[in-house]
Amino acid sequence: MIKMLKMFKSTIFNKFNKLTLTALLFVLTAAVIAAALLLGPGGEASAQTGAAEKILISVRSKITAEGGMHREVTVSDDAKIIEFAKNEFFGESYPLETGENFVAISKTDTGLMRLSKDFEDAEECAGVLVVEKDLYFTTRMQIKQSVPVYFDRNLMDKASVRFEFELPSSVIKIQRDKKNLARQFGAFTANEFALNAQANVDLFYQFNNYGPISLVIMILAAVFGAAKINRRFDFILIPLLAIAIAFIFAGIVILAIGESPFAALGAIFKGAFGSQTAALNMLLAATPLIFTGLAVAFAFNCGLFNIGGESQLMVGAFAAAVCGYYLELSPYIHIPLVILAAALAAGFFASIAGWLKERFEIHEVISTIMLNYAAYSLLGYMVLMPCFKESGPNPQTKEILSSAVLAPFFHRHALNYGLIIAILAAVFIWFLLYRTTTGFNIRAVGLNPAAAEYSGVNVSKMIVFSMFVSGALAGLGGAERVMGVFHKYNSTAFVGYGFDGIAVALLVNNNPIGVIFSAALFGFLKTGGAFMNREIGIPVELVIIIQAVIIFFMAADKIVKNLLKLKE
Amino acid sequence: MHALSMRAISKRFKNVVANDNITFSVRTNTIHGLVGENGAGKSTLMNILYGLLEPDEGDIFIGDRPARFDGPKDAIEAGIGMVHQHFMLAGPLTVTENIILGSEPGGGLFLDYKKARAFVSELSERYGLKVDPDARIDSISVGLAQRVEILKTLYRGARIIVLDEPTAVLTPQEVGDLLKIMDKLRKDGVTIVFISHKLREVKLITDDITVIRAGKTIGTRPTRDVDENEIARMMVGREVSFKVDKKPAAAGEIKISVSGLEAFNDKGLKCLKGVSFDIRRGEVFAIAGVEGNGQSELLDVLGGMRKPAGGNVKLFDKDMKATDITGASPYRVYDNKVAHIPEDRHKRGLQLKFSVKDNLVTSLIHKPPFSNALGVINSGAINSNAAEKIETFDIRCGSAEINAQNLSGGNQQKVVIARELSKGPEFIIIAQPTRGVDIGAIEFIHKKIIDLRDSGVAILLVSAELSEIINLSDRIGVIYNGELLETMESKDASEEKLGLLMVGITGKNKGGAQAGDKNA
Repeated sequence: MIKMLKMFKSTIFNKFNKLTLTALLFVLTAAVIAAALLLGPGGEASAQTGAAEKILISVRSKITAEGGMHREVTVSDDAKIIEFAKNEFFGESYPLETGENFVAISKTDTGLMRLSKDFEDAEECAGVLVVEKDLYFTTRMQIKQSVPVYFDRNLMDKASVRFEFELPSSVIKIQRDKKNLARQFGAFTANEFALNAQANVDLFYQFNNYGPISLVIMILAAVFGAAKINRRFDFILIPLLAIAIAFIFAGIVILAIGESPFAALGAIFKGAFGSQTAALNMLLAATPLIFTGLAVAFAFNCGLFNIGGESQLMVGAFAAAVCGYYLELSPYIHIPLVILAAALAAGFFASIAGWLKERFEIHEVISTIMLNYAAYSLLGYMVLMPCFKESGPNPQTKEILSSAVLAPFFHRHALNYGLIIAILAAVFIWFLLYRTTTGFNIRAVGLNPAAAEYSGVNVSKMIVFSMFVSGALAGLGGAERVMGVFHKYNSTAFVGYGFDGIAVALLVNNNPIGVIFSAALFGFLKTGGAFMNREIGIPVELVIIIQAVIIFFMAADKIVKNLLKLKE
Repeated sequence: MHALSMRAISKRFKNVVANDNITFSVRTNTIHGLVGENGAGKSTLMNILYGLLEPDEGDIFIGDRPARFDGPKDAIEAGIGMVHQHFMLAGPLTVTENIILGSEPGGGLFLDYKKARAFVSELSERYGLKVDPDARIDSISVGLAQRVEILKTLYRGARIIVLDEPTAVLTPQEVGDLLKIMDKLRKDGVTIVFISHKLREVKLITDDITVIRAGKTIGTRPTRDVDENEIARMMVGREVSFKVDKKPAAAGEIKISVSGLEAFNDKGLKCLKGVSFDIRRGEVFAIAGVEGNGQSELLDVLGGMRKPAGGNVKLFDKDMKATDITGASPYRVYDNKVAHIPEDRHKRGLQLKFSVKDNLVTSLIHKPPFSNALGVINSGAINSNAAEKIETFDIRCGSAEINAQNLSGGNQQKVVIARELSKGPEFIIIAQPTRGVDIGAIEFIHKKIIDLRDSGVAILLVSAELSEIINLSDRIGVIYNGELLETMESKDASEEKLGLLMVGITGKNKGGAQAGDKNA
């Protein structure tokens, strides 16, 4: 039996080589996407309606995909109730029957009064039912209940309110945060209404984003094809396959929690590429990761595993914040000086680990981890010192002078010239490692210190130097955050960049140029993931799953190599 | 009756034919030598036998039954054991634990260590493979570790044992012991396939010899019918001379003077106890000795990689002006026209993961034309240097871009030699120049060394091969326990004489000192 299975396995692998299998996989994926496109988004979602016995007030709200709303309220022909309806469902603050905010009042065939109004922007619907636009994104709405505080008690007991929603077909999910409201959403009395004062209703929209996904799959297929034809591109295959596997795995997880993987991936793409702001957000998130990724990659080329990027970035950030505030200079001098200060401070801080290694043979993984904690505490203390601390309750430094601010590319977006510095740094590090004698010797030390020593390299010097450069790179990341984004140092804003840098470097096998792309990918996952969380309610941790799977398959590259049948 | 026959085996890798219709049969209860140059296809053939590779064509018979191995597990079940050149042992575990690893006695979760230990003792007793079953692998010598590997295969019931270059890592004494063990195993009914570059050993111990060249079987002969020269000719495909032709040395002035050199080893023990010697220009001075008597440390001190504890090293220029390089860094040592072919090319001599062209310039990279004053590398110069060196030193690597680790031992050594000679040395340290190098390359390397001597370079040669030392050198010093015991002219030396001195028996104290078991 086992023999037969083995035979079967080998027949499959012999008959269909990997290329055919890969092609088959892509055709299948394409077919699934096509089917999904043809069938369209299935979610004809609308809020359920319930019947109430005595309906005095009926509210029909039609929400448009653009974020506007048309609302109709039908009430009995009673002046008191009409007044109530006007106040509650159209907003007391709006003068009625004038200008834009005119509420049309007409009589229906059945003798009831109908009040109606279009809101260009759902945010305007003040009153009992508020549809709020998301602060950052137009496509998600919150419907809020507010309390009819001045409501006539007598009327309240008698009144029964019936709500109906008509939602655009792209809404795929309605999420309510109060269960009792969920039950009674269709109809409930004004009293109950008042009780559920803070209930939120979230509407989630689906993005028809099969386009970018298909594009990405096609690019992937092209790269795979190119690498199959020319062995020189082998090195791209492993990270790409790791990424592809991670996304497939994430898709399975999304399915398992009962959501649509396409909607989720669509949201991630939209969150990172959907608008100019989204793309800028992605690059903004990627910038510090380029620096910390380079820091890890550079040290790794010298055989050093620098886990201290986290604290080195913070030291750089603190140095930048202090120099940015205390020096008063022309921007042409101030900016380079602050950058230099950050790099030097972080570089010297990291050199401690290098020195401990060459002098006492203390492994850099241990010392950099320990130095992380030392830096957290030291900076946490220093930020409270009167000479650095901003007046007020917040533990943060004083804001840097405008002469030390890295100019943003666009008005009202923090993406700044730090990105250019990051890319230049990557190119410089590549040049240093692969085109200079210093880099040659650093790589020699990294691969085999004994052989490097034999060939006349001062191994100790190289170790300290590499840690210095590595720390300086992380420090530049801190400078960028302070000078371009936060303009001050505090203990919480700089967390996570250093550790993400390890993953960034690992993904591209510590290649400095690759770090740019790898950081962009992580920036994409970060911004896209946050957007996905806001838009369709899938937890942002999903993105961490994707990152983890990528890193797993990069670290276990043997698995990927076997999948691809690559030779070492 | 054949214990094993592999018939018409072919194996291709991409565009290389590693095994081309090879037929290899081993008679039961014999020791069968398998010889061939590096890259001839021996390892591929043995990996096929051990189930690590699948042949494209051909059949394997164990006894007279056809066999098909999908992995080493199947091969082990069929009674095949393999002892690799690089041991597969877990350092922190004991001998017994290593032997039983993977097929532990005792039921379920529990390990019957007592039973295992008794079994191991009995096994080692029976075959004369004396080892301490409770010793940690870390703490035993290479020779003993090899015995553990052999015991491991016997424990798993091997009746056919493949020994892949087992003597390459052993001292002469250990080689003798291993040959005795092999003989004993043969008497006990075990069949052995013996892979070695050392034809003398092959000639000494085997019953039959199969020669492979360039993936093809050249022939199988009874050992008594062939001599070493004939085997070598079959291997290389042409006449090979073992005798080095050299004129008497035309020694000039003193180039290097070492006096009273002292140093500690990694364990903190004094391993050089006042070593002194001079080497003249145009002279080969060789140091013979059993490994572990201070040669490695001496080489490290001269090369600048170990700080001496006493004594001094002086280099002289043409006008006999001295430069003291005692305790200098390797960088400064090379700056004084010293080159160094290290004893361990994997550890020191090469960056295995660098390309051949980069390996040809390590330690030269900071000099023009390979880089400019700003330290920017000139890849054009590196490429042309590689092309030239590959041509003149006949380095067979396919492409200069290939990583050094993919080269055969001989070609790796040629890379090291090519690089060191391009330093234009006046003094060169040469250690184990032909270790793990195939016969064709040995001839080439020996000739290079003599050419170097004749061009007036002072040469220090350290080798474990006594024949190499006697053939190449002009004067020989014997090192024992950190001291140079005696220095003699090569023409007065013989292997016997050196062998006695190497274990500490000098004319003055015959039978007195014994070679201490340094690993005990």
